[in-house]
Amino acid sequence: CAAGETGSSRVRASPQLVGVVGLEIHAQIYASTKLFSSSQVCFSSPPNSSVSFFDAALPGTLPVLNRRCVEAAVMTGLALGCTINKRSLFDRKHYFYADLPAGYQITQQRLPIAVGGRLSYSHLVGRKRNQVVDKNVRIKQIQLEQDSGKSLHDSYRSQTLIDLNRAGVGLMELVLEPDMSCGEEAAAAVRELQLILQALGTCQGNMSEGQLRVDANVSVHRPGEPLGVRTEVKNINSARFLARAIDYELQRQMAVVEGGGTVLNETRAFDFKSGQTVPMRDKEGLQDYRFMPEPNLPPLILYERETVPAHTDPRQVVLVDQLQEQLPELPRVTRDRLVTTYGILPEHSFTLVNEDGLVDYFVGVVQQTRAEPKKVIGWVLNDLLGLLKQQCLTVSQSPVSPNALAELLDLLEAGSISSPAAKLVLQELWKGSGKSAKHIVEEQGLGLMRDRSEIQQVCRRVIDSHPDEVSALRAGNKNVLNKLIGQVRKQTKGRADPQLVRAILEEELSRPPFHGETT
Amino acid sequence: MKERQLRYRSCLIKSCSAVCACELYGFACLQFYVYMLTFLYSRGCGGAVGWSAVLLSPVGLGFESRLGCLATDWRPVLGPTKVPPDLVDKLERLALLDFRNQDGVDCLEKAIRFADQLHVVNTNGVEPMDSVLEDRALFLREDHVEEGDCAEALLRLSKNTLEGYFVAPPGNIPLPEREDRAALLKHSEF
Repeated sequence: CAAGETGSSRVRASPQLVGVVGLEIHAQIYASTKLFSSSQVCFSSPPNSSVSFFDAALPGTLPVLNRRCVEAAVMTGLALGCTINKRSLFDRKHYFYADLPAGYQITQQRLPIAVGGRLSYSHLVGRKRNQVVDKNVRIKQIQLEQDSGKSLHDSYRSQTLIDLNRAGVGLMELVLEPDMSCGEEAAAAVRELQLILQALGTCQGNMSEGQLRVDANVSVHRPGEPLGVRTEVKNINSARFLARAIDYELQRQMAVVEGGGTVLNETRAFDFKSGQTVPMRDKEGLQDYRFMPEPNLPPLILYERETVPAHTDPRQVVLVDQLQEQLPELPRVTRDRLVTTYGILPEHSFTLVNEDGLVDYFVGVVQQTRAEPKKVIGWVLNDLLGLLKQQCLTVSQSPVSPNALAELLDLLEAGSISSPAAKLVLQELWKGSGKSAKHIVEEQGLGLMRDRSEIQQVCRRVIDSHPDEVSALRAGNKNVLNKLIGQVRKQTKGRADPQLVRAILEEELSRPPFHGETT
Repeated sequence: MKERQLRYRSCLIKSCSAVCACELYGFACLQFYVYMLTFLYSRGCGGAVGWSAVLLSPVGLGFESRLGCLATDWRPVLGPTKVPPDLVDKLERLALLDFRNQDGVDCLEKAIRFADQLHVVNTNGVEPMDSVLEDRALFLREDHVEEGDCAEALLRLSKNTLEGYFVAPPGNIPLPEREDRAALLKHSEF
C-alpha cells in the first residue's frame, strides 16, 4: 500500500503493479417499514412473519414508496456532498433466484437519486499508527433499491430454505469509484462511511447483522496502462475481513499477472477461515439484467421550499434544503471540533469518535473537572477504555460515570493522591459499590503521603534491604533506580508521590555511604 | 393527444436503447420485446400481439426512421429480421421461454417485422417519455407498520415448506440443453 513505499523499485525494469479497488456498498436504511410495502423491518424475527403480499410478489400488488427511505437517501447524499437529482426514475433489474420472488428487483439504474459526491476518510500510517493521512474517494452514485430475501443452504437435503423477511427492505447502494489501492484504505473508507451513516441515523451500519454489505471490485495494473480485468469479491462480513480479502485478492492477481497468466473476470467469495477468495458457483459469465423502466412508479420529484407547487400536501413533499439544514454534526467536524476546542491530538480524536458515546463522556468529564483535557484524554482512552474493552462493555454500560471520574481527577489535580493511587481508586470505583472517590481514598488510606521524613524513612529502609541494587546503581546502572522506586511504592501502598520518591532516593544514594553499607 | 402518441412512440425508440445501452445493446431490446410478445402470444391474445408489437419495437440494431412524415398504410419499412439460433437459445435461457420449434421462431420474426412500423415516425428532437404516469405525483407513504404478520396464509400457497421457510431447489439450476428439454416437457402439462 502507499504507506509501504520504500523507494527500492527503481532497480526493476518495469514499474510495479498497483492495485485498484472499487467498492459497492449496500446500506440497509434504518426505517420501521420496507421500501415499497408497509411490513415491518426487524432483524431476527420468525421466518416469513413480516412479509406482505407485495413482498411475496403475489399478483395484484403494487409498490408504494416509503417517504422515510427517500429522506434517508437524500440526507446521505447531502452529507457526502452529492448532487441530488430532483427527478429520479425507478427501473427493474431482472434475474431469477429463489430469494427474489418477483423475478426482478426495483432499483434506480438510469437516473439515481444522488450522483457525484466525495467521501473523505483518514488513514493512520506509520509504525505507531499515529500519522494521519487524508484521502478521498469519489462517489459515483447513490440509488434506492430493494433487498432480496434470505436463503439458507441445506446441502444435506440438497435444498434451499427461503425467508422473505428481508425481501423488500430499502437499501441505499453507494457506488464508489476505484480510487483506492489496497485493503487498508478500503477498510478505512468503509469505517468512515459507517460513522457517517450512524451519525445521520440513516443506517445502523452493523456489518455483522448485514446492515452494511460491501462488495469489492479488485484489479491490478501498471501505472499509466489501462485498468486490468477486475474480479468481484463478495461475502465479506466485517471491516477487518474486507482488508484481508482485498489484500489476498490483490496478491493473487499480481502473482497471476507476473507469472504471465490472465486474470479471469469472475465473482469470488471470501472464505474467512482460510483467508482466501474462492470462485463462486452459480455465476456463469456476464449476467444480462434486461433493465426496463418500472411501469408502476412515476418519477420521484424532490423539491426545495421555493419550488414546491402551491396547495400540495406537505406530507407528500420532500424538501431538500430543509434536510440540508437538519443534517447533524458529521464525524469529521466532530473530530476537528475536539482538536481545536480541547487541544487533543488528532489520533486521539479518532479513537474518541470511533467509540459510540465516548465523545459525550469525554466532554462530560472535561466540563466537570479542573484537570486539563490533555490529562483527561489519557485517563479516558487508556484507563477507562481499557477496562471497558477488557469486560466487553459499551460506554453507556460503564460503572464509572463522568462525574465520578471527574471527581477522581480533581483529587489527583489537587495533589491529594498520587497517580498510582488514583489508578487503584479507579479499580475500586469500577466495582460499582456506589462509593465516591473521596470516600474510597479515606477508607483505604490512600491519601498522598506528604511527610517527607516518613518517605525518607521508607527510602532508607528500602536502600538498606537492597544492597545489591544499590551497588549496581553506584556502578552506573541507572535503571535499577526504578526497581527501588517500585519497592518504595509497594511499601507505601502507592501513596507516595513518585517524583518525590525519586528525588529522595537519589538524594539518599548520592550521600556518601555510612557504616551499614558496603561499597 | 397526437403529440402524446408521438412522444410515446419516440420514447420507445430512444429510451429503449438508452435503458439497455449498458447491456448487450440491441439484444437487450429484443429480449424485452420478445418477452412481452411471447407472453401475450402464448396467452392467445392475437390482437394484443399486434398492439404490443407496435408498442414495443426494438431499436438497437441501428435503424433510423426512413420517412419524414406519418405514414397511414402498414407496408413493411425495413427488411425482414432473421433471429440467429444462438440468440434464440440465449433468450430462452435468460427469460425462461420456450420457442419450441421453427414455427415459434418464425412467429417471432414476423412479429418483429410488424412492429417495425414504429420507424415510420420521425422522432428527431422529441423528448422520450418513459412512463405514462409522468404527470402524476409519486405517492409517499408514512413509515408506519400496517402489513405483514400473515406467515400462515403465505406458507399455505407453497406445496413445500419446512418449519416456516419456503423450500426451493439448491442454487440456480441451469436450463438443460435442447435435446434434454424435449424429454422433460413430454410429461408436463404444456
